[in-house]
Amino acid sequence: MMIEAEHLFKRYGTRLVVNDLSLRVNVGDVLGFIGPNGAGKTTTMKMISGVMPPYAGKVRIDGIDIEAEPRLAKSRIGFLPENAPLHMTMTVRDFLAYTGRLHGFSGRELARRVDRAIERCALKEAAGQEIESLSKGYKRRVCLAQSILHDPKALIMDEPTDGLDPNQKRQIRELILSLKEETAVIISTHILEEVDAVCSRVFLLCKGKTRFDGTTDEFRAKADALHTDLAGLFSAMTEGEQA
Amino acid sequence: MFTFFRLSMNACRECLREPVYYLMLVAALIMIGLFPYFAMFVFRQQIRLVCDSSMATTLLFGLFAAVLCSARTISREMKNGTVLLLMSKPVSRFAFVISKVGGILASLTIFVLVCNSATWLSILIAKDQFRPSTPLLICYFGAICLAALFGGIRNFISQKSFSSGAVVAMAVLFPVISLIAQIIRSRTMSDVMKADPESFIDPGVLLPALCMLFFAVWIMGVISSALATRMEIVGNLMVCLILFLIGMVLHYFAAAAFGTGSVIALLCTSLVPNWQLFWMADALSNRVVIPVSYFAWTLVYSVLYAAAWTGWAFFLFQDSELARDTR
Repeated sequence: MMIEAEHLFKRYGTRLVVNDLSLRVNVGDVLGFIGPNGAGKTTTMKMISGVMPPYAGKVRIDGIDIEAEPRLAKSRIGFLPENAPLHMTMTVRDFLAYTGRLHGFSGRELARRVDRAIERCALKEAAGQEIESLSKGYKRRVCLAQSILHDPKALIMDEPTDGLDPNQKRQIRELILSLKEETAVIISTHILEEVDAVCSRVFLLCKGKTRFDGTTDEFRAKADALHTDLAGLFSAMTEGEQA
Repeated sequence: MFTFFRLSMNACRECLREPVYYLMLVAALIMIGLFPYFAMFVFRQQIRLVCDSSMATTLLFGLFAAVLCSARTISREMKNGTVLLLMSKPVSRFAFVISKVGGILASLTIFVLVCNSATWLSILIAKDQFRPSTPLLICYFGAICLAALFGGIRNFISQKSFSSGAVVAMAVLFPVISLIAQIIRSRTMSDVMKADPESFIDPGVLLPALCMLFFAVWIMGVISSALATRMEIVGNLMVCLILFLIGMVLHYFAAAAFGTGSVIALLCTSLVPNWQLFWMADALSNRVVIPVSYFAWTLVYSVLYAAAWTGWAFFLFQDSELARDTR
């Protein structure tokens, strides 16, 4: 199993934002992580990516405990945070080289990986530009490029298509589908259409608790059984419990 | 080690790219450059006045630069979420804090280096209370303009940051010009003139006093870095200013009230940095050579103080929630 989270809990002060969450994602899976605002999606992703320690519970990446061996576990993770936070005064190429060096790449290997990430995320035109001068869509793609530069085995993406135009969304979805052959992918999203388009599994979270964990077909079947669409099912499972 | 170096280099570059850093440095340089003219007709006290004013300017602007750099590289990164990217890489929180502090101290070292070189040059300009050296003054302000020109051309041709280009150019030009000016002045002055304390200051006396300013600004940098893990720039600046003001007087009052060497006075010295330790203006005006032992103990004091605040910074960062805006 590539990504394993067992009985995760997280508190902010006295507020319990993640409550006994467990999930498993294998290579070939694209897990759609959905839920209303404040459900605990971003907090869970931060815990899984090793950015934030859980209050209780375990996270393993490729069998490696992220708290016991954080450097080794993190070398297998690609993380795309929400809102594409980047070093704005760097050029795209410099930024990617910088993140590549943090993974221990140098010389020709680093240059090869930077070029490949630029090509995969269609950033060739902007490679020499300062990140600050780029559009929101380009910034998101730069952030995506840094997350796949080191060929991670686990890719964790927080709203990867937020702010992109329809063409860019399609390109990113195609990229995610091409990555899933070698990678376990978790995507946090508000867009149910995206779940339908790229995800093989759905994980619905509400108020820090698991509401649904199954395949996309099962999720769709559940919606059909209730004679509604995915949005209707989402509302039915989360309404009245939003934070 | 390589990760530390890369992160530190990047933090330092980020600071130098900040336009406000450049503006503060230029403002400090303009003030230091004009002091020889403010110190005209002062009954042969011009060198002492230029020294005092320039060192005070370096110390005060160093404090502002320290807060700016720490806010730029720590507070802002924590707020906008850039820290998430770094923490998701094989980088520990300890390495993150240490390297950020290292980067901030490196950028402050450049700041103080330029200001100290400018102070040296300014003292050479103020050779005579009636006739400051015009050629040196032209060199001084020419260096600022040349650095700006270099930064501008670099920005135009290769689209690289104007601020960092100009700052690096100043960091090269000012020490070189000061050194050349000092050599020329030493060779052209007679022994009688060198013996006149109102027209010449021995580099052996001046250099350790200027080096002390590095220690003071480094301590400010580490304190503001620790505060930056929890505070925005305004709060950070306020606390640093208060610590600066208290640190200037507390030890004097503590010693007067409780006696020198008493436990409470010692506690005050330990908790709040004693900025007076680094202020060598009085020694300079009396042309006293700072003893090596004093210099060494001040260095040890600074290192221990910086280490303690770095530990405090790590403790605060370890316990902090990252990327507050994106959560």
